[in-house]
Amino acid sequence: MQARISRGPSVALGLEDSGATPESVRAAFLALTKKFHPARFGRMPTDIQRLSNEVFLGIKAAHELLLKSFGVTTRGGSTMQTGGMPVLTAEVTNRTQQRPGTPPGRAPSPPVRAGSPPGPAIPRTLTPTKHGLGPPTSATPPSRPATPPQTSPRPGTPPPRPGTPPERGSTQRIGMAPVQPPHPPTIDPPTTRGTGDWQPLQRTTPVFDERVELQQVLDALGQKNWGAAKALLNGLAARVPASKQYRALLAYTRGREAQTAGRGEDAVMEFQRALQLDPDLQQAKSAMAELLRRR
Amino acid sequence: MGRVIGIDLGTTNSCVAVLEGGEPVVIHNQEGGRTTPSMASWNADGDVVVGAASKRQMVTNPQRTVFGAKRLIGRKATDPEVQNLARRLPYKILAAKNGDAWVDIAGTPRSPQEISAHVLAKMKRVAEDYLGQPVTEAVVTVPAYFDDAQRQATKDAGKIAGLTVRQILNEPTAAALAYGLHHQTNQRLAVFDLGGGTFDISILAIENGVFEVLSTYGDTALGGDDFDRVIIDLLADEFQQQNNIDLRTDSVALQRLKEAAERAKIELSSAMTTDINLPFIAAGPQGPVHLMRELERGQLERACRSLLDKLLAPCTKALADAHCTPADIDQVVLVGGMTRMPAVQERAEKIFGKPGSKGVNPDEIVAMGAAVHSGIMGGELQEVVLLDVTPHNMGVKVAGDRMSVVIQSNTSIPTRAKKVFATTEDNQTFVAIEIFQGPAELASRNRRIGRFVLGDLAPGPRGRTKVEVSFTMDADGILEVNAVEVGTGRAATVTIEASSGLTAEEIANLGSRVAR
Repeated sequence: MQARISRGPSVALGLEDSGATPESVRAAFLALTKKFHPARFGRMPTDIQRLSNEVFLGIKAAHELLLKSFGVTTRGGSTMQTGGMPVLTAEVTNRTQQRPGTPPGRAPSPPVRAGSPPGPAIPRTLTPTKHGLGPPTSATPPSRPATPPQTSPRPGTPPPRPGTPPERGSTQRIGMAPVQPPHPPTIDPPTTRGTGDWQPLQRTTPVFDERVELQQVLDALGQKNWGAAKALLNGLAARVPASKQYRALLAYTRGREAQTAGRGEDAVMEFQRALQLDPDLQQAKSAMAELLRRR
Repeated sequence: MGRVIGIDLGTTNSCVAVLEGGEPVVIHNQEGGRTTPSMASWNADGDVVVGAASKRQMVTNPQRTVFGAKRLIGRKATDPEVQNLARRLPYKILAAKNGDAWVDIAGTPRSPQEISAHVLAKMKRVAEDYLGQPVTEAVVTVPAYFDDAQRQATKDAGKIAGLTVRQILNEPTAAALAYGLHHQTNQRLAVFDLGGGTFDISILAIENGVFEVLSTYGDTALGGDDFDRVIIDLLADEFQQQNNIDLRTDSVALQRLKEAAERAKIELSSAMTTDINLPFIAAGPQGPVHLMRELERGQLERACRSLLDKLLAPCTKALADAHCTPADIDQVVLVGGMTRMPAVQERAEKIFGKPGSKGVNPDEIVAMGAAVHSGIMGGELQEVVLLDVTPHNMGVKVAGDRMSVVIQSNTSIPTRAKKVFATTEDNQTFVAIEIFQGPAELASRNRRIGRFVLGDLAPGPRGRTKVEVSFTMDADGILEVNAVEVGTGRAATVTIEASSGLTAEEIANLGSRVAR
């Protein structure tokens, strides 16, 4: 069945290219659904269930593409799907490439080069995504743009000011903005859409995870990048005002900075402040001990 | 391979069915009932009784008798609906370590999963007695509007009960399967499911044996319990005015009121008036006080008007999502005991312009549908298959706490969709991909179901580095999210393992206890 799917939507549904009608497409889809719906494989081993899922996604994509080529819109929720369809085929390729090394739930997986040929274990027939499932009318845009289109440099956006409240400077680092406006989905390659609509929102970011940022802080401290550590900690402390830990770490960072700059007095003061805020802060304890020992 | 049973794990009652000769058959429990109360009681010595025996203890042992665990399952104790519920329940709700709503039974905190597991284990035994062979697999139904955590918690309850849940099936969909098995002409159905705790509405098309859900919508906090509560409040308020005693503060009196309210509600579905007779309900300064009065159907309907009004919006939404008008609907299938109430039937008829279908037992049809689905999985029913939808929006949190929807609600599953996102910072080295489920535009108002990080991005100006996020949802509603950096192909994948809040170890421990 997978080989059939890869040979185009008509073949997938077992139809003649020329004689297909919306009715015959629908009938073929329903017949195949009865046979290949994943529920039929519900009691089988997981890998067979996964495969059945892929096969059925292919059947579904072929059905929707063919109906669309007749100008028939599928109902309700599937409008989005028809929109995403060309992109969707690209994903089939992608995932098939990844799967040998990517058991579910394990991240990150080995890098997959976009547009690179598939591994030897993958049937060749699955690769040409542009031609694989595209309708004969070639109404579909390319599944994956060869080069990421340029987004406008946003001349109106001011650079981050040095005095901006701490939460901004730091949180933006892990912010994400959709490249396309979220509604409505279109069949255009999403990346050709400007980011304009979303710029103002980016200024107020917060895609925020404390642990990730804390790790960044520790990394920055390891690299003696005091500025970065302080910026991150300022952000964390501002967002989690109840936590003394971040303020303690901030004081500790200032202490280390002072220490490196040879301002021993300041350093001691900062370490003391850190320990007042968090008496268990091991780093501050050792730094303090080290400083006092040297004296 | 053993048999797969179909279980309707209801808020108030549960029902089990199997497929025999291509026909779903409801199995009687050991007490002779075709449905079993979804209740469990813990005796002083720690023994557990389930079903009708537990229901009998409601009055004598109210603090240790749990009903309606389905309204708590997979929810947080801070959830406003849970808080609202907690004020009116005779048993205590507490927050587990992870914030989940658990039940305090004589000082022992118990998870709703464990309570539901006792009910499922009972249904399993009922089926085993009937079939004369061990049963280890089941299709269990849940309200269509249940979210991921609630579904996973139900699956875990099955695991504790010694059942592998082969599929979590939506209740209205199950009802449509059972109904449609004998009405296989091409048609459109509206399944109007008002159960003990939830209201679901699904619009389906049957076409050549393929049951395709067009849309589904619901209210997880509207059901028979709420109608009971209206009656309880009606009676208790009046009693308080007359006697200056609030019956709701006494758990035994509250339990008796609840029983009486439920009975009155059921009787008023066939009679125009009913008597409520609760002698010695409380002790006043002048001795014992009794609650005796007559309740009319009209009074009940007036008191429940605001609840009845809540039925309209989900129906309108479901019709709109299915691109249907009421005139497109060929049949309205009424499911759930509450649809026996004449006022509910009238509302359904008003909304869809036609009366509900006759000849359907609203208490049993869901379990029968689950059994039908087991036949689809087992291959006994080759000519029927079900195409369901995901009831919730699935998306990614983006800058500004916005939810960028990747899979829209009412998309037929399995499905795959993707979107491209850009960095918001120069030389951003990683993106945190947080996955949310729900209808709100602000991500934080939805339920976060997972997160992962795609790191080591190629440095570049903001907006230039792009990440393509694709969501794949299988027919069971399980989501896999995959992120690839456009250009370099650096990728990360995560399967969203919805967590019900119990660890594998806890499930195994509980499993050995429940099995005993």
